[in-house]
Amino acid sequence: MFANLLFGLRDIWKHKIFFGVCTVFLVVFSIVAVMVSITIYNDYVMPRLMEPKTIETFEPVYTRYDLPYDRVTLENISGIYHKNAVSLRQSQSLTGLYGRPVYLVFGDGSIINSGIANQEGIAVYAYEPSGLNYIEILGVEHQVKPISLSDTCLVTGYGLLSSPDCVFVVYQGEAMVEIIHYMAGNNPYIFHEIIGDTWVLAEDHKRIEDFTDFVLTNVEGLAFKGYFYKGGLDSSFLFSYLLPLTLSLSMTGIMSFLVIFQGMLQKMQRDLTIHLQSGARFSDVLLRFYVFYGAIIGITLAALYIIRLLDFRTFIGPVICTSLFIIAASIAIYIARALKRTNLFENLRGDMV
Amino acid sequence: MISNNRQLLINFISTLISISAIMMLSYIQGKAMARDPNAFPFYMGPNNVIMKRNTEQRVIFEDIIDVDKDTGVLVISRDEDSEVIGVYDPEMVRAFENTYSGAGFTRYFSYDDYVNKTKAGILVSNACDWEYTSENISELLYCTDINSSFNYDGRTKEVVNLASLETLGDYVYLDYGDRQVADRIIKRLQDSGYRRQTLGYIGLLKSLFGSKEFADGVMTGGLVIYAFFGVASFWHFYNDRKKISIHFLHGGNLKKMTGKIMSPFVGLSVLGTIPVLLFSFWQRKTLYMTINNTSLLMFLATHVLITSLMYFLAFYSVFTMIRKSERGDSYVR
Repeated sequence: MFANLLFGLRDIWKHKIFFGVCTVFLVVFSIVAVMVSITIYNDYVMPRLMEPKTIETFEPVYTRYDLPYDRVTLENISGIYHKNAVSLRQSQSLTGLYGRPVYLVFGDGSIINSGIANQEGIAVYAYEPSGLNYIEILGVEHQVKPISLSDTCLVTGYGLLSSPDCVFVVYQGEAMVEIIHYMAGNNPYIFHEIIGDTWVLAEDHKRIEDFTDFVLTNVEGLAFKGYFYKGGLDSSFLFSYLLPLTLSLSMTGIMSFLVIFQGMLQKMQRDLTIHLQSGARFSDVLLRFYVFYGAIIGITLAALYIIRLLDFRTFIGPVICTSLFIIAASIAIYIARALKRTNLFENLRGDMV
Repeated sequence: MISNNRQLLINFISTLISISAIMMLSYIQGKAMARDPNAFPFYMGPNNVIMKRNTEQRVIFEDIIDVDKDTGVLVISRDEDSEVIGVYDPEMVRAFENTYSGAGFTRYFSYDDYVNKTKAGILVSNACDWEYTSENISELLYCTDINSSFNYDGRTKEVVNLASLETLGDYVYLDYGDRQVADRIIKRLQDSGYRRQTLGYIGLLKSLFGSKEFADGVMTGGLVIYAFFGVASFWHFYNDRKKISIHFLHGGNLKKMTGKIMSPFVGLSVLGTIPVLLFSFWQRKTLYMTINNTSLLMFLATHVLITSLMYFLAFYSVFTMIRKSERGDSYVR
């Protein structure tokens, strides 16, 4: 066993120039293939890849100056906010009164902070230690429940919410309808602003669709800004341009390597056959060859890994690896079959033309 | 030397290399063309289509766009040298750029505007005059600053409701999220005498040598795969050195042997350009390749020339190696 390993290593030393050429060829070729593919990939695809959104937000566009409000629309839309959807509005009067930001939260407050329970009615929360036990809203006192600042799971761009003095007044269900109706009675635009500021969990596609459909058909004067180019991979580009290019580059690499390696392969095949005929075991001979040959592939893979070219986020890394394994497997199978021949004298011939 | 399997393999490599090279070149070319200032009018996306009026007769909005069915597109139209652009934007993709929107005092074009042909409009100005009215704008929706995408070339002053204009302009710019609708509008425009404008074509050589960006540099560097072809063909002959020395020992000189070796290679290379041509035609259909026929043929000719030269040089170096060495040295071993 060890003797065969040593023989394999000796083969490497004996054919060091050839060994070096093969390894360098494979490494450089893979670098070229990966660089070319990655460059195109970054150029075309990366700008379109947005960070996966956890929260879907909307940009309201008003198409009328007078925005009509009626309670029926409000009651119909309130179902959206039962779960996975929330809207937020800073209360000017309460903020002024308490000297710290007070937010009115409509709907599922657990999106903002996991400590907020999604339950019917009115509840008030503040980051602990809040130094605030009760808060009076519209003449009713509400107890302040503590939540932890570290539980705030929120969206970039709303850094204000993580200010430690924030107070959240959470309305859900009937209480939400009542308070919005109360505020919209004074100023009907508030209803549209609350709807326009809605956040929906991005994974709840149905709710997002229901919400936009409802607003576009039932809330007059309010629309949402549209986008023609939503992020994400352009699969037609990947499959009709990048994949053929990567494939043809790797195929070029495989074929060129086979051409280069063929001379060595035939020499080895003849040597190993002589060993076999002189009584060597099949497995020993094969092991010796695989040490020599595996080292080329192994060193190439290691080199590619060290210079961090194997990027498995895209299909480029897998394609390069697959092509290396195709080379590895095809030659390994070829030599094993050649040495298993019943008529080994075939292998002793000179160059096969 | 007759063409054997290995000869075919070398030719196959050459074909693969030319496919890779033409894709890399078309990428460089595409980038060079995208740098054209007119490539993305009004900062539209890569889908944008530009149509130019080709007849004297002018068309009206209703003939081209059905407000009830044609949503999912953005249509901008203007006359040559006009400061007024007409906008049809049912998806609100251009609403309130760089502008504060407030309920009750600003608004954007609505469905009703397109139906009723209201003379609503947006003013491109850094200093907003809320009392502004003009021939095209009787109701000012809001003002947008001069960096707005409506003003991408600095020539726009008024952005008005496309439906309120008497006719469409000389140019119609289109961007879309719904391809079917866009195709419908393009078809109607073509029937009314508009013609689709294509980007100015930049030749292959010009884009190759005029490239300045790093990414293009990497792609140009990708052309070193030709060097790999040289390496592969060198080893191809090196592995065949015994055969070559036998021919040499029996009186084969460089001229004769080159002729025997090169003719099948060049022949097969020329044959190998057929799949490359077919591949390029397919690629052109997918719109990622813009290369025209002249450039394509030029490229293929250059490719055959370069690979043949490398093939010859590889043979030449192996041949001189054999000629210099002791006679029969590698033959005997």
